[in-house]
Amino acid sequence: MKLVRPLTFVDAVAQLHRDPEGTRVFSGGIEIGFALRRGSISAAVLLDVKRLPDITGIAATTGEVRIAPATRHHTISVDHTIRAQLPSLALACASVGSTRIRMQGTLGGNFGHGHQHTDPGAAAVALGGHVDLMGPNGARSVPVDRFWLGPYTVARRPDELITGIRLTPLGDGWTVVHDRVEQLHRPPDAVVSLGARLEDGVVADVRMGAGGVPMRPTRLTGVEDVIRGQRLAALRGVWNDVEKELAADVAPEDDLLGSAEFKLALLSGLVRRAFSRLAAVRDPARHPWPDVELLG
Amino acid sequence: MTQSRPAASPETDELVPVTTTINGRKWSGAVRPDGTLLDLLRDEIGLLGTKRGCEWMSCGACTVIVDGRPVSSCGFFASDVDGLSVRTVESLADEDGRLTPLQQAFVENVASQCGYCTSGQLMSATALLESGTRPSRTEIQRWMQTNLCRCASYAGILAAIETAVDVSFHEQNSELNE
Repeated sequence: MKLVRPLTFVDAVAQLHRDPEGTRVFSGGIEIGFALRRGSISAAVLLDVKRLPDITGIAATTGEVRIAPATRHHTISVDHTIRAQLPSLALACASVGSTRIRMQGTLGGNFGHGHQHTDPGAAAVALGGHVDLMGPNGARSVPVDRFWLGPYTVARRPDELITGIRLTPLGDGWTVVHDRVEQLHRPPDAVVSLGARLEDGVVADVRMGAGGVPMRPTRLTGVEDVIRGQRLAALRGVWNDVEKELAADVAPEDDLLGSAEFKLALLSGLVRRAFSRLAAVRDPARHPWPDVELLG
Repeated sequence: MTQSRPAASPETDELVPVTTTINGRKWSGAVRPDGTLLDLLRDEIGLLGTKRGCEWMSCGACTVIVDGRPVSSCGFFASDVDGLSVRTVESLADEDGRLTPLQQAFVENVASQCGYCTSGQLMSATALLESGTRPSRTEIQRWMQTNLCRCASYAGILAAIETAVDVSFHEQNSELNE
């Protein structure tokens, strides 16, 4: 095994093209490191992308915010542009792992790892946007809701690098909530990223993304259609319809974490709690941001 | 509870040159590409204050500060400290053994029993204290959430950190008023 630290994207992609199966890309290195030490994966080359140009950073452009892939979760969770324009992503990144993991793990790493129990993934599919990739044949973009294909499977080809993640702000007047069911030392069993625009107590518009229960982070479009136009205080009245659409949206499967039926009930309860929390938000512009900002 | 040792064969690994600053002193050497900072600190350099715990980034016993950020050294590639500065628990007290206000508060609040987690608790809390913010109790709890203490000295640990926050901000205000 050897470590390669390319200084250009061309060199990085050339390495991936030479040996796509034997090369493991990393930035924070958390998951790759554990998998290597556990012996569940092997690598001929560890490709450290941290010295590539513009591999970290956050920039707002017209209609979207671009996050460079090696930007750490903590950086995103405390960034003023993200908090103002993509508050649901700030809350999602503040929910990842622990303080120490957020100080090391990156958004691109989280996406590339492909875990379905992802907080940022749930927020990203609710927001919409694109994942930018570069490979030997050039650059391409994948809509964020088509980036995850299944557990640990994403649209990035083995010889491609993630070069950026572009997400679309919801705009003014939206209230956001990020909620999860978690057990210490485990990825969250269920994640919900919720955004709603309320007008006189009515849910005028809504966006929802779920992680954990579906086999990939999934936007809950069917549930959104049921809830849109309903009074926030009267959602109980449409909950049977919500649960029907939830089952269709997420299509859970039985696995070691529980039966599909159990996971669906878990997510239903979580969605309900997220709406309760949303109803309790008095001033969406003054979020109690959970992460403490570090100097520098 | 330790993980199994690496499956890779060290004899085929290409060692990576690393130059870093550890507790204020320059260190240069070579590490395995998948070697951890924990192994470097303990096995190579002999800084045994950093404890080997879960080796799964869960318990916080191995917490060190890399360029101001608290990280789990068990899940941090040693090669990644090249050009950066690392601080371990050995950096806290001065050469005469004088404790930092945080360490002193740990003693006074009986914030440890067996002490195995203490170095990790201290390094996580030190990074928080150095953040420049004045954290609330909730923020301290959230920051320290996954620094586990099997003896359950959490009340003492929280009290110690709150005491150190008070001392730190009292000192800052005193300096501003001088």
